[in-house]
Amino acid sequence: MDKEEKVTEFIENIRTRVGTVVVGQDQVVERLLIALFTSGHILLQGMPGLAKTLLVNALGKAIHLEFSRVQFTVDLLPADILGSEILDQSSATFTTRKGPVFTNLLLADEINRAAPKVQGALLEAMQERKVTLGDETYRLPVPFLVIATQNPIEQSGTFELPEAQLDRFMLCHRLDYPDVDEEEEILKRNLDLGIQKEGQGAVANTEFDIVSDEPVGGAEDLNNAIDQTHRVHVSEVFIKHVVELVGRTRTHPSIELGGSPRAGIALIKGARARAMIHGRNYAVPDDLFALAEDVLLHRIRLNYEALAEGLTAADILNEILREMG
Amino acid sequence: MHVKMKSLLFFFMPVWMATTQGDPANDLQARKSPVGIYSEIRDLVLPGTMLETRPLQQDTEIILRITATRPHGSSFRYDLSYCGLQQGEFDLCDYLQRKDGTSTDDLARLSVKFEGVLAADRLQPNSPGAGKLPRIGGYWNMLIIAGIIWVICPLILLLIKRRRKGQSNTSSGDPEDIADRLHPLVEAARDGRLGTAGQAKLERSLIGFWRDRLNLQCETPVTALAEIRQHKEAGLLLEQLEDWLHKPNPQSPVDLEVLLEPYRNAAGKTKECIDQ
Repeated sequence: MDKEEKVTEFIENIRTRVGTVVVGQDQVVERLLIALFTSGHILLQGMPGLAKTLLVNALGKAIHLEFSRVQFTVDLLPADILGSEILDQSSATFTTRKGPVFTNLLLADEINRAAPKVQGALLEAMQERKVTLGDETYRLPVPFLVIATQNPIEQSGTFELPEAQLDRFMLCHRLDYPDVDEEEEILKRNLDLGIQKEGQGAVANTEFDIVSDEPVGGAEDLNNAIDQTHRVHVSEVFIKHVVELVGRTRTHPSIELGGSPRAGIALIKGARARAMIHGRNYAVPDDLFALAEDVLLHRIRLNYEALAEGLTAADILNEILREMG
Repeated sequence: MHVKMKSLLFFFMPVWMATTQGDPANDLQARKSPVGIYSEIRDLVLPGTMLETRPLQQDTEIILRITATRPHGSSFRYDLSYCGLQQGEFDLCDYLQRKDGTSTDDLARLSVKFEGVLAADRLQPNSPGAGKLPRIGGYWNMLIIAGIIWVICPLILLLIKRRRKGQSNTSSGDPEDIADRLHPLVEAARDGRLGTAGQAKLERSLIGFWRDRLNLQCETPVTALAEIRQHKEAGLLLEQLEDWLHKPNPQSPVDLEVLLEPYRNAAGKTKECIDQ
């Protein structure tokens, strides 16, 4: 079995594994893999109860990655995420206690509930991939992927991420509710979860209990996938498409803030990973069209006139894509 | 004697002034007005029963109106407004009559004099000179010409529109049009002679063309593109373009005629893009 086949099998196994616990979220699994293979970060935006945490948990276990979860709250401090130096009174020396950010897969749950200084600390670590505690600078483990979530409806008591910080997320994926068939399947599976007995007590199983701890691949498989992603050919014509799309977001009359060059980079990186996941060694316009929403929507800001007309960023982006093609 | 005369004059002067000032008829003797300008007399006390103006005649010299009538003991006090239409001196009493039909002979003369501004020998106004015609040919000819233009212009526009429609029908009915136009572009794209920007534009134009042709405008761009890829006719050239434009090692030998077959008898966005 050659390298390409191994990567394909690895991806297929991850999808199957995640599919055993999460129903109907193929697209978000693909986006997570894209972020993982391109060393980007992803922001998941969706209502509570859409299995965001379960999904990330299952992905972490499937690839045998270290996984941490931080529930962001208003009283969270930067040290709670990054770590701190603690004074050992017996030896009168400072010892470093690394925070949950020192992991491979970090789930930052409800990131917009934390104060801006905490968000800033995390986003800086995401950007630089290193953390300074006291006098020492520590590199974060490789791979390092932040999967942040935020609830789009609850705005009271939240600190909205500014555009400059949102730009650091390579992708922002909006989760939808499952369709009727998928929801029926979720309920049926929930009925069969069963119970577990410990000692004299018993407790009903949750979806988290049935996530297998057995990984389907390791660091080597992941490295192969990352390597394979970097081998995907991106033609000059594809780059022209990307530049055209990003450029149109800057000149559209309804858009106040268009896509940055970082958006173009993210589109090309994402397109490479998507092409690889779909078994191609070259990127095509389909990859661009598929990833445009996730890469661009959180980076563009509409002007007042467009908002007054009730337009959304998705409407404008779809209009741009239609005009392009 | 001289002192006696002075004292008498001093005694009678106020009495004389009071009597003369209170009689407006005396004022009228000196009153002159230009022809055509209204004048007024206020608080004129005329003895006898109530007066009214005589009905106006066609050739009247004066227009007289009683603007107010108020009782004044056994008489009446009047406000009059009058306007002379001819030069000369006239008696206003000639234009008054009593309401009860009794005679007005007991009224003192109310003389008014009207002076004209024109020379004495000027009896008729200047005759108007012959005016110029506003347009050559006169008003009716202008109307006729405007009417002809009104009818002809829409006809000309209609004919132009029909001719254009006919031309577009002829061109869209031309089965080889789009395919023939695409042929050199596709060939250039295959050989790498079109330039990166041209290749990108061609690919996007074809996607747009098929989205319109397959009525996928309401679909999201992602769904529309996926359906276009799966379409038997649409996918042919797009797949080949994908091979030439995006693959690292394109395989070129293909039959362009087969690829362009779906574009025969077709019209749409691609044509406009190609024309650009």
